[in-house]
Amino acid sequence: MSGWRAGLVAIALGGVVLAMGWFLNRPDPSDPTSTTDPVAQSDLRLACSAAFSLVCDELAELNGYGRSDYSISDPIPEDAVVIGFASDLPAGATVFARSPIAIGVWAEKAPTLENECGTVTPACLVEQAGTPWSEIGGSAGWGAVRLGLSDPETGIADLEAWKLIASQNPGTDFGQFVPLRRETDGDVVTDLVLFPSRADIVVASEVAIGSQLANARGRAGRIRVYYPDPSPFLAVAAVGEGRAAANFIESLGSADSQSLLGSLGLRPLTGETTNLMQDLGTPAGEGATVTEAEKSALVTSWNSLIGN
Amino acid sequence: MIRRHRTALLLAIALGLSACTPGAGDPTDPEVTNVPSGCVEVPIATSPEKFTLFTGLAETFNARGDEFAGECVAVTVYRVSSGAGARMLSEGWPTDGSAGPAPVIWSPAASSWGAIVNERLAAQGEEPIANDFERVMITPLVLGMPRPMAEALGWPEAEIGWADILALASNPEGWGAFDHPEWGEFRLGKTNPNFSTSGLSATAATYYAATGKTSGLTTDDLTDPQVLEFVRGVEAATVHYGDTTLTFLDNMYRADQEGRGLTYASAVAVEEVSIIAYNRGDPADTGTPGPVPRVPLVAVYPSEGTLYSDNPAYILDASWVTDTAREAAAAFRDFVIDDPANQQRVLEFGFRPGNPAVPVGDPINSENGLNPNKPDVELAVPDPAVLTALLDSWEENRKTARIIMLLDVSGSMADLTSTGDTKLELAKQAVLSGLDSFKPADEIGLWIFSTNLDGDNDYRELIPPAPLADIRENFEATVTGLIADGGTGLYDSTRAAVEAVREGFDPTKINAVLLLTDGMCDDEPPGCDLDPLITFLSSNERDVVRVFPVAYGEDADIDELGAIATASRARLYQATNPLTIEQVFQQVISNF
Repeated sequence: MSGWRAGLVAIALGGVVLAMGWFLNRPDPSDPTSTTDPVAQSDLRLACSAAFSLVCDELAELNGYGRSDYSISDPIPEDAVVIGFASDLPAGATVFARSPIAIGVWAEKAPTLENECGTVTPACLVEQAGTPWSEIGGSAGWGAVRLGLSDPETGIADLEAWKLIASQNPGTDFGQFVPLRRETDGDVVTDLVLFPSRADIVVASEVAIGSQLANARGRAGRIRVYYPDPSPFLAVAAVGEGRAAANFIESLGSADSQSLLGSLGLRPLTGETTNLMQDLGTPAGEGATVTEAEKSALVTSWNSLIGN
Repeated sequence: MIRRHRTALLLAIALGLSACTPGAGDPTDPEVTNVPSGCVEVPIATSPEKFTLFTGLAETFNARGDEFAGECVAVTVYRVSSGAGARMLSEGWPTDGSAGPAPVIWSPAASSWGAIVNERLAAQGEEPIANDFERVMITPLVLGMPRPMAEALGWPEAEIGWADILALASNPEGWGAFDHPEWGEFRLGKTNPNFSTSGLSATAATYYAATGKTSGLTTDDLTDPQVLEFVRGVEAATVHYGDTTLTFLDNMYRADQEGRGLTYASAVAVEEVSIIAYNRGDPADTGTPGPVPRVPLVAVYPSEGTLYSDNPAYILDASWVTDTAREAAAAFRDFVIDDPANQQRVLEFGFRPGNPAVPVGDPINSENGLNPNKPDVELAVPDPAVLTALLDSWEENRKTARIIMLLDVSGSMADLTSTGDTKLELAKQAVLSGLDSFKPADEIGLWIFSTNLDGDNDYRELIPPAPLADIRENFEATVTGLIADGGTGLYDSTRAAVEAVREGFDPTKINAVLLLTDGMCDDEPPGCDLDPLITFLSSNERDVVRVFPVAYGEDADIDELGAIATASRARLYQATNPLTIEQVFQQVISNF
């Protein structure tokens, strides 16, 4: 998607934008070839998967960069900065933020789930999947509790999300209660917004959910965000070639940029952001991420229970 | 044989009728943007309901003058129904131009068609070609009902589903059970799932409703006797089928304008976007609305759940797609999806935008009988193998047809076409290959007409209606042996065929006449007075025998055939180019 929502963000974050614009265009005193040439800047483009669509749309718009989609299986384009989860990028990518795995529930249905489960956890999701909403105090028109998940073979966020579910030992019929299946978590959340009746709940990275919160409000309603306890946190990184790319990537670590990134749904490497996107919350604790040894078993269980 | 040349006026009328009857014209109708000399053409084959929208978007895109690999390009738009597109992509796109150029972008109404194409190609040992797609716009399948009828069922508060439709359709009291006996029996308009996305989605939805599932439909479900009983019950309420929902809506609109809007159909399985077009007075999506209907339609979102048409734009992985065309196609697709102004145009046409950042708003509102917060439950698109099996199952369980094929064998049918075959030879081939689209239990009769074939009668019954399984061999031999001679005793032959079907009218079947003619009535006076025939055809409110005329070649009188179709609440089909007769004939047969 293009960055045409940037106008609203620019109004809200005018000061930060101006500061970041100067930062990105500043001359490098140690480099005689350094220039503020706007052509050189605009030659750059940002390539991102759906999970980072809001982050990339806004950064591209604010800096006059191009914008394209990126799939984890694609090679890194020579003329682009790719933003993604560090585990999905080549070694050497610069880590600049983090994002936990979260649970998104249509706000209209969230209280029903809370009443039944106490709080919304992966165990609650597995237990309630397939239960008619009317049996737990919801509307009969909502049908049964249904989930959206992404393929753990695609990327680290998809793998971590599936681990949270798989560790609750879902039954053999669990797959029929997961009608929303896409390759990536970003695609799952996008589909949830486009087709609100396709699923009630998604498990995805917080940045993927955050990318669609405003869109969800415009299309179908609020999404309430919950955090597993503990939540696995994923490192977010950028990679690109050339000086313009290096300047841009370096700028992402600045305080102003980190504040802007917080408003776009990313968390700083250390400490808490002062400018976290509305509707996001606070994870209770940080959990361990998937080990290499666990990976094949998780993929096997996905193929066995969900398939494609 | 009398040959009459068209005047400019008649041609204008013909083109006007074609525009009013979407999808009824030749696929090669020049409804495309011009391609400047030396530019690369990027053809889009789109399902009919978004043809006008895509045409406008293509014109805007072309006006930008973008170049790709140093070449100018022109995006052109062709109207191809989803099922026909799927069939041609899996069987080989016609090279004779009868379906327009092989597309670079294919935009059926739903991505399930792409899955079907790939499934069919895989079965032939070929690589998939429908891989790279993005959704341009979305719209859910709904039951479009005249507002008073929906309100009689409790709309908008009540949850109404396919089970309610089945109960009403099988109730001998019909609408009398809801204190409206004057509305008669419940009649459902539902398209042929082999051609139409609405038909495919509605068929899948009825199977889902029968199982109580919302996902995971299996091939075992398709053979469950209880499921089949439910499906047959719904199909039994069907007025007739067809290749596009626009036919039903157009007929419904005409009936409405004549003050009998509640008698044609009680509900039509259509996409939400079509309700908006209907209520604007433009049921056929011509872009030129007529008066708003007296009785508007409202959307019932089936309580068991429904499917979306996700309107993908595929850039095909096909041998005919060049790198330049691919690059231009991608740019056009981005232009349509990413530009908010274009997504706003999508919304104005009544589609829900495919860009999630564009909110759903007017005209998807309660004033148009719609609810932007519905549906509550979306049904999962069945796996491709299940979809394919579902189409087979539907063929066996759909409503049976009882029709007479009334074929013109006048002398002009002996005219040669560009292939060297006569028009009659091509028509015979179309009839013979069309037989495969009927099921064995369909009852088919064969009549021919020219002049004085049977004493003073211009028609002759060659085979009375009987199950195809019993007569196929004889039918094929008889068709093969037809010869052309004489004039065109059109009206008395049509009337006689309709009378014959009426005499044996079977309410459990689709009762119709398929009329193929290449000329215009040339009986002795007063045999060619159209008004008595029109009065006769429209005289039955119930037990309607529909006449589906096929205007074959350039000399067929589209004006009078259109009037015959309208009077009998059917639809006119045009095969102006004789080479398209087989394709058009398939469209006609989709009604049965």
